[in-house]
Amino acid sequence: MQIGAYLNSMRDPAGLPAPAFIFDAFLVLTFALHILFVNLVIGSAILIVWGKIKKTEYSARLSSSLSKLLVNSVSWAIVLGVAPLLFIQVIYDPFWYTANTLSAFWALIFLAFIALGFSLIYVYYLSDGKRSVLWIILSLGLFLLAGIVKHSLAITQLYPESWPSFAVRDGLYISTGKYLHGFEIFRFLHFVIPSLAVVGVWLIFYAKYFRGKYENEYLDWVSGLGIRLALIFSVIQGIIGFFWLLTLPGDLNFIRHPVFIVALILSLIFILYLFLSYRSGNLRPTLMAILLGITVSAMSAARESLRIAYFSRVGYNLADYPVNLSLGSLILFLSTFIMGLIVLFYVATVAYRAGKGIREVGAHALGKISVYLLWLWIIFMVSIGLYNTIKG
Amino acid sequence: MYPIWDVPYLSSALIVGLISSFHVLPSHLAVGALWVTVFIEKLAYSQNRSDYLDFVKRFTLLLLIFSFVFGSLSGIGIWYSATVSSPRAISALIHNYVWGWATEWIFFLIEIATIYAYYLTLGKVDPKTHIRLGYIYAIGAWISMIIITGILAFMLTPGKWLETGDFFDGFFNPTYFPQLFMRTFLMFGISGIYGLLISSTLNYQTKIDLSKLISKIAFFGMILGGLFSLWYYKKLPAETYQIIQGLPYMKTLIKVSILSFFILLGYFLLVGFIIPKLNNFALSLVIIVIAFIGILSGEGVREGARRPYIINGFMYGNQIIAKDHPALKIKSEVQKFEETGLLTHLGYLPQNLKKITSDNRLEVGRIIALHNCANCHAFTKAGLRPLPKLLAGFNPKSPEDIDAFLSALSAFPYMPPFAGNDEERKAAAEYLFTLVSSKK
Repeated sequence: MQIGAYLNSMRDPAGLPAPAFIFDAFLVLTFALHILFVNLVIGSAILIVWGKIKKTEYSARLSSSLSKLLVNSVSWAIVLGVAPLLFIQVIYDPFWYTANTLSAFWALIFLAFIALGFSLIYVYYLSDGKRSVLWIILSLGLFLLAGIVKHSLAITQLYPESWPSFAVRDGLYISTGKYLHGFEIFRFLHFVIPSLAVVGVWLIFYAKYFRGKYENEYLDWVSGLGIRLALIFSVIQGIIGFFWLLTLPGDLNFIRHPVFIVALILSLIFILYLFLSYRSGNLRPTLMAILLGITVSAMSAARESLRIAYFSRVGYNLADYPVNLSLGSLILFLSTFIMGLIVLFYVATVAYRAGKGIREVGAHALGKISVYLLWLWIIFMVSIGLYNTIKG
Repeated sequence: MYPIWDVPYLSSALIVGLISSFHVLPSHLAVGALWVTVFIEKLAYSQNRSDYLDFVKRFTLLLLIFSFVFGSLSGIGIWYSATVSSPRAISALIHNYVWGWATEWIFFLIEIATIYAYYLTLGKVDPKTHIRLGYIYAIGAWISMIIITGILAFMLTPGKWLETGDFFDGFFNPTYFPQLFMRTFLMFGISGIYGLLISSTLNYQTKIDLSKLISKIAFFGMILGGLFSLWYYKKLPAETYQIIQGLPYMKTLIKVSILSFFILLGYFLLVGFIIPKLNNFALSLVIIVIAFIGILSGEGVREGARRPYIINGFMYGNQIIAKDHPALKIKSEVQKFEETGLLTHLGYLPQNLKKITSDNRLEVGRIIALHNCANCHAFTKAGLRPLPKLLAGFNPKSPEDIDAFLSALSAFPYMPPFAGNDEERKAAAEYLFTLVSSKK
């Protein structure tokens, strides 16, 4: 059996419960959110270490502030990773499951790296930053190790024609999944380098948010650091991206891919905007965050297009994945998604105001609506359940 | 078929089982905790007991670390371990329930947002808002249980889904509601043991008052949870009872989980109604370990009762589709593998291992045996259901004896039929015979 035929034969016989493009769109969107928080975690951890080692008044203060943010960001990075994890294995199941089982040991141990790294961050956080910064360095190392594992598993998926040589060595099948099967430096760096740009934008937001609460001199220093980090590391990211592009297989002709070209233009606009902001000193965090979000989403879409291009080389096309539509469950998700945004908006409002030191945060009507919506969801679901049970 | 993962001594299924059983503790704590905490917070305001707020703070921190570090990651761990041990089974679940899981994910987002807000704003926002945050968390977390129970229960009792393939028919299956209520009330027991652990760290009077209160909540939760467990047990399919009766270890697991249930119940009774000062940190830890052993046993029964299936009535433990599913246009694969063999479907192997030759016979036999057996059996002499020991029990004199045994596998109600053609089965038998005859 040729590899293309094998891949198509391994698609789940149940088919997709909705057209592939819906999963693909959610995959791109949720991955962009996930990688933003992953970058925020890595970038914050680097600044925590830098601030503590540098030991100036402001850097130490920023280091301490960021350590309070870090546990929260790790949680968000983890939970936002769940959705792309789900969607990728729906539409790319033959690639996903083969790569993971071929490196089964690593596919599991990477979670242990994250658990240990997260625990070390808590050790540091609960000491109010008094413990050695070594805990954060170790944690950073573990997260990067986890990133290498995930990166390698992604690379394994891109080369199905090499799977037989990954699976067997010296005529013996490797049943323990103890090897990783690939590492591409520029691709890996393209996921890691933006960390300092993302944390840079965060710092600009931080400086705006605490204006009036902390003294201006400190906040000016923070936003100055933020814009420099955002600009410098966005430029470096562009250079890394260029080298990554050079190392891609020529037959993909990715440089002419329309999604890549759009992503490239958006990235350049973002860099230009950062440069102009740096020159003028007029920093607008909300606009900058929106542009960052658009750029990261475009990069996520470009990476997805690259994956599609790789997979089409072995005859795998999303469009011909059979669909067994499950409209009811799709509606359940979409309506819950909208409801979730309302509830999250309420919680974010409370957190935003409380963080500014406001005790009477208000928004009670929205709060009540959030609670009612949740109860309504339960009543709705139980009604379907009872109807189905009685019918059955 | 996907590549197969072999775990010496343990088997890949046990890896899933261990991670899943651990996950029960932080996940049920995550669902139950804030119902208890918000109640105690309300008491703190209404009875002017600011010392109760110490409990709220510490308990929430415990929740953040235990449930939102180890709980979150062990939850993803179940997924990954299932991915590498039974990829086709998790694929079947995901392709049917992806929107269910995606819906649950929305509530994960709500849980993360509210639990951090709840922890960080205690004493910093007005009590009404703070309690509402806790309340949103508690309802959202319970909804995540409402969702995941549908998928968990589906694996043992897929119900009408086997005919219709409909999402909701599989979701609201025969054991759905009993299992949902069982988990809902037992979670108060799990929250109780962690609540007692935190109470034991507070000053004496707070510890006594809260130990009494929490034990009472946990006690009544356990009683109701126990009653719903009985309902759940009654709703299990008839063949499940045969499996349980036919396998002595299953009966032992049931006894252990019942014993652990009554130890917990007794402890809550003592602390809640008779000797509240009995509660201390060390004892609470012991009770947590006992709860874990009970859960491990209970989950072992729930998982084992599905044998020989991984999705009851649909897919065997060796990931072969067992029966036709006309509504989803899926065909049984048993005959296909008998006729065309397993090797032609192992597209991840190099060509030289896809045909049995005198040179590769044993290695190919090993690969075929791994696909058929490694999910549930260790290939080492010791470990979980170790094949060398089990096969030695039949006292085979030659590979042919093992081949005859493999041909008759489906005669055992808890074993799936052998997947592969005659030649492959013979090769597997030759390899398995080396395990029995090996002196190592």
